[in-house]
Amino acid sequence: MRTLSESPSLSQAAALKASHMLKQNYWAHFAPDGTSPWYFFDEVNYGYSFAGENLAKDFQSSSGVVAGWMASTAGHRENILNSSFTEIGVAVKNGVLLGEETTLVVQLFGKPISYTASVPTQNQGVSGSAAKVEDELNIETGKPAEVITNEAISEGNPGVIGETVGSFNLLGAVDNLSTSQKTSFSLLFVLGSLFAVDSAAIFRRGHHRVNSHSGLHASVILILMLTLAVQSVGSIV
Amino acid sequence: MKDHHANLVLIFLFSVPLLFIFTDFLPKISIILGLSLMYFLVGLVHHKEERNLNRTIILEYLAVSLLIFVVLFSLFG
Repeated sequence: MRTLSESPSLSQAAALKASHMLKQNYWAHFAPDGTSPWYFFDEVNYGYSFAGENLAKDFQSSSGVVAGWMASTAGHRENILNSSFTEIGVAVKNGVLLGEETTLVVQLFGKPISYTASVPTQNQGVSGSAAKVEDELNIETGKPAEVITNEAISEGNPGVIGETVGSFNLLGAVDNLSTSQKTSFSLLFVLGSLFAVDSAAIFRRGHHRVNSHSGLHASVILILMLTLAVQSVGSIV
Repeated sequence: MKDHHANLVLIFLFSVPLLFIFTDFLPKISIILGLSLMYFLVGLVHHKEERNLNRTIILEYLAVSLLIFVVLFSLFG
């Protein structure tokens, strides 16, 4: 597997895509007006033989984003590990999307045409058209990976087919917490544990347990911990 | 009034998800303030009825109510 090199052009295209999503207020590979991910490659004059896109939002850390993509079973991981790509560009942008403050991460992969010239692939046979490989998934809207064939490209297929399906990864949420959130989570855990132990001790002594206020405190702190974890779950497309 | 605690937990379970739904500040801060105050007041009422309300319990409920407000406000405020 070859190492990807960072492409300023792809990073610029990724920044354009992020700005476009914030401006047009959408969270998808394709804009409501039909603008495709590949439009932004063209905007920065990046000719490619292979291209891919991963999107993420609402993650608290870079490692959380990467962990989310690598844990994905619907195509993000495949994009990252796809040996057809030789270059990568990443952009991170803050803004209001769908009414909420968010941080968008756009990751673009490409294999420039000039690179293809020295490394022939089967996709070169499509009368000069660039072949696109697009993998999509979403922890919220997990979608099977799909490969756009040469034939589909030559027929002008827009590229994204199929519907999305929801899913949720709570266990990965804790990994995604920022340092301050992890501190809060740990403190809540310690405090909640103390109340739980106290509640259990009261119960052992024969007092009623259900109405022990330590039990109530422990329950509410558990709800706060779950809320903290759920709030930190990012989504990827 | 032995159901106070169970009712409080249920109210939290139904109210906290609303914080994920609302996007405006006003309804979110209302829910956060409401939950914090309700926790404090219901706790006091419960112990008053059980005739074991004392300063320690008041401070305990006050501390947990403040904790609820701080955590939820930092997440949704």
